[in-house]
Amino acid sequence: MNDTEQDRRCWDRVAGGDPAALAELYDRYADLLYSLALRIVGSSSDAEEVLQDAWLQAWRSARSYDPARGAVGAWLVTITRTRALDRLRSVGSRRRGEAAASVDAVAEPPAPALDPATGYARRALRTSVATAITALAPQQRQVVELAYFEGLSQSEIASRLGAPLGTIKSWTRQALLKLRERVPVEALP
Amino acid sequence: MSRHRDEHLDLCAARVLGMLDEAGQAELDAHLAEGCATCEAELRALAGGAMVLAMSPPQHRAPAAVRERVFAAIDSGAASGRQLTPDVRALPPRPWLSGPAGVLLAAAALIAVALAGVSAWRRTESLTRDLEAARAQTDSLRRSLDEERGWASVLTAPSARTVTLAATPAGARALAAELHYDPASGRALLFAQGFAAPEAHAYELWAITASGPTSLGVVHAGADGRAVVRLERVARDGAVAAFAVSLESSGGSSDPHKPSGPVVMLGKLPG
Repeated sequence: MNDTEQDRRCWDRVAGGDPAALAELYDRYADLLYSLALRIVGSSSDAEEVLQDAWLQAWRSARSYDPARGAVGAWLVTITRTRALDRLRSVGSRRRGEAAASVDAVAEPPAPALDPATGYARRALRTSVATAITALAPQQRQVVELAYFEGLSQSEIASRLGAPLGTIKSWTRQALLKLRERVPVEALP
Repeated sequence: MSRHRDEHLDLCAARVLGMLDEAGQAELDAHLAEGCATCEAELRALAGGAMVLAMSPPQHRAPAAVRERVFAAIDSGAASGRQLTPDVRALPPRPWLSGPAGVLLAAAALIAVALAGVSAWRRTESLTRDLEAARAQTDSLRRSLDEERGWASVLTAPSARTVTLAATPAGARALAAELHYDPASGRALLFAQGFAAPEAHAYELWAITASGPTSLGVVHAGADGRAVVRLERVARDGAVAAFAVSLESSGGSSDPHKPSGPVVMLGKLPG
């Protein structure tokens, strides 16, 4: 049974009202989701609230999860990102200096791996992700990062970068496909 | 079925990143509803790309306190749900039932009561979840309200000061900004308009003290050039003498204590 299938079975238990199953998933995904929220909102206190709200929303709406629309991990990422972008918009502006200070303050060492194989798999995945990101053309990387982490629309990105809308659309798609190609399918949540 | 076009693939990419406007959303939904294997496969592939983006930020440990808060909220709801679980063994005896027919009737009644109990338990569980959700939402709204009250005090506090920033000769005429600063709390609110920066540039806000300028971050304006910026931790000690805005390359000045581009707006604190 792969991780995706394991997550799905776990989520079936969550949908049945089993908090222990949610705890399993929390321990598997909390660091990823917190890091994503922190990248978007830029402050550890905001990221904590985003993480808390996202898990409570996932618990409340557990039965609305549709496996046909993607893996559990992807669904949790979507909830967290949406919450974080809402938070970012409500705050109004990133506070760069504060953000840097906050990120430094929470940069704890990574948790020890459960076993050597798990540790190796995680390091390999992180290497693949980093390689895939740095392999993107600078404009393509900028476009998908503005969209994903700042929630800008394609028109807003076109305006900010001074590029035609059609070009932005093309860069968006090319970037996503390249990222997908460079990271092993089985490694993705 | 609507014929597949390359434009649908662009819509798929926008959807995966949550960038799709209502018209695009409607068009793609209609197209997918009629069945398009190409777009379905495209969405799966693009979603994988988005997941790679999600994993790309530097990784940090989620604070343990968040886990405690999440499960404390959940446990409080689950506990009340368990207490309300019906116990069919506690049903009172029915002395008027006797013989085989009575046994069958009693069994049927017990099954009916048990089924009704399960149904009621499920409803209770659902209501418990709704209650827990409402509590969490109330907490969230209360936090938001407290936060908004805190920011409103920047405008109303006795110590609050208002600074009107004026465009310098290097600044565009359209630039206009007013900043409300409360030295007591160290918070400030900037209301700006005309802040649509030229291509590949950004406007950056600065606090100027006796020791020099300190960046307060890049101002991200909307498509209409307007921006409302909330600033925390601006110097509390009353050392701020003025606020300024510079025009920088995208991303802002590389030095947080020195603008790289021209200062385009300046406003001194009233004496």
